[in-house]
Amino acid sequence: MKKIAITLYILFLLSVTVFAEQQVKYFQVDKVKTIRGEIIDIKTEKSYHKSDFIVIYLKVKEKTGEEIYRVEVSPEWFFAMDLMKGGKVEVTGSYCTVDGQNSMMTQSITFQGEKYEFRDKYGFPLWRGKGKYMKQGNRGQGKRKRRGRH
Amino acid sequence: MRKNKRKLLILTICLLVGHMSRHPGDLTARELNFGVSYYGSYNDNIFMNASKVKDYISQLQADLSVSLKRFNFYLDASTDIFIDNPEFNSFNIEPGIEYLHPLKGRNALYLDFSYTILNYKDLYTDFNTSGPLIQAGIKLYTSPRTLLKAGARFQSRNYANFESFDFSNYNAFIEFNHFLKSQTNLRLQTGFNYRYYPHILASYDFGDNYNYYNNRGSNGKGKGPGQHRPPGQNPRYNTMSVPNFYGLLGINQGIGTRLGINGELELRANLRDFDHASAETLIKNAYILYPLNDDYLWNGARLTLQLKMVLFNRLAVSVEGRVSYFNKNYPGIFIMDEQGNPVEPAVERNDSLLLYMLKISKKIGKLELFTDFFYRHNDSNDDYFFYKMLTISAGIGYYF
Repeated sequence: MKKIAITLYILFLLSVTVFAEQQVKYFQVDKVKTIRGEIIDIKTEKSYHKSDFIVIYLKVKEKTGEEIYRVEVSPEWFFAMDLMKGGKVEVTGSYCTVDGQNSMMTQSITFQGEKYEFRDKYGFPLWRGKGKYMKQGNRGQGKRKRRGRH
Repeated sequence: MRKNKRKLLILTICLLVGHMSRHPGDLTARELNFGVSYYGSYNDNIFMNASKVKDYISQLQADLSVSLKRFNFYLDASTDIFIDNPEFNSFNIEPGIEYLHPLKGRNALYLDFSYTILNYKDLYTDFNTSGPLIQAGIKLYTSPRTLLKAGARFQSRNYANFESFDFSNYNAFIEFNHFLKSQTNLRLQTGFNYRYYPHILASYDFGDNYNYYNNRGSNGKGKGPGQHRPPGQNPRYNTMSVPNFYGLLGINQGIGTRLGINGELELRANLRDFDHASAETLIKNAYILYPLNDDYLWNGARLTLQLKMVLFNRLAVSVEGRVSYFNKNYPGIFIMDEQGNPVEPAVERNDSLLLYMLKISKKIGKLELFTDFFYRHNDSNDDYFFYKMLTISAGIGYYF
């Protein structure tokens, strides 16, 4: 009886761990890391809250070989980068695995000398409640213009 | 012309309101954003001409916006404060609406409508202006490595105190981008610019025969006495337009992820010269010759080399450097002597401009720090436009 109870308890703990790993869909500050890789695809996919998100599939060279990362970036209306297949990018974000797939929730993307930010250091999305000008989207044109005399 | 503009504005607003009423979901994701910034600069030639008038300029800016998912309503306000030339202080306010419509894939349609009001103090009230700006753009990915963009822009400026300055800008362009495995983005753009002056008064009372050329000895600011219609007469207007066609080749090369080098070559051709007789009023008041207002008017070439760099990814220090060379020709505008008389034989104005820029910015949470350095060296066959200008600026912005 005791053995059965211990076995069930261990199974419960394992299931919780596996379940938690599969369900991680929030930004974890302690899991932030930076990866560099080549874009193999860019798609618009339904996110966990059913809005259309830009998702980049990235080929990353690691010590163990090549890995594919699913990089969830932002709602499509906020995404103004002209990224294309084959582009090499640096992504900083919160890492997790979902159904065994390497996944990142993006904090920033650096491409050709420009850094685009999508979340603050706590993982709070910049498309909510931030100054418009901090947004990368800027709706295509950007309003932050200084009427300088240059 | 003005009736047509009004109709266009009313139609745009009706379309936006109509869309919002059909898509109430767009009104749900409401976000209020607010930011303020201060930008201080030293400029050793604020009028960009031989006068070499220097000043310290403070610019205060406040921006408010409300995002309703696809719509963004914004209100930007700024003021320029000059220490040594306070008569040139100005206040600018710009309300506007942006709309982004995502299409299939990553394609998108963008619309922007804004209205600018710019007011100067005292002597410069002739330059007070207001008017709408309408922009539309579309981007279409035709393959995973190919992007097509197209856009149109209409801008109208109404000068209530000097209607001869009234103008409209029209621009339409199409752009082709192709990304190569070598991390090279090839960009080809071609477009059409059109500058139209609808209300150049045919006859003026210039009082003391003022023109900015013969005033260059004092401060060279090129300020006219204002526009005075002859009493009891109906004004007669001339119009003037400058159609301008351009082509642009751009190459962006990524080196790693934190360094990007861009090169751009642009060629422009005016399809019609200035009508010098009609332009005389504007030239006398230096208005169309102001270097920041000639974007739709010159003929020639521009070569730009730009470098963008992220120095420390975590610290987010961004560095941008740019060098541009312009060879500008102004068809129909002839060089003048010290007294403002045309030089014989007539020679068209031709400028060679070298522009250097360095910009460093850094974000610390909600705070943004930035510093800029600009240097312009304009070599012109008209002595009045032979000048150098240095600007050193620093600023701070906070976005709530």
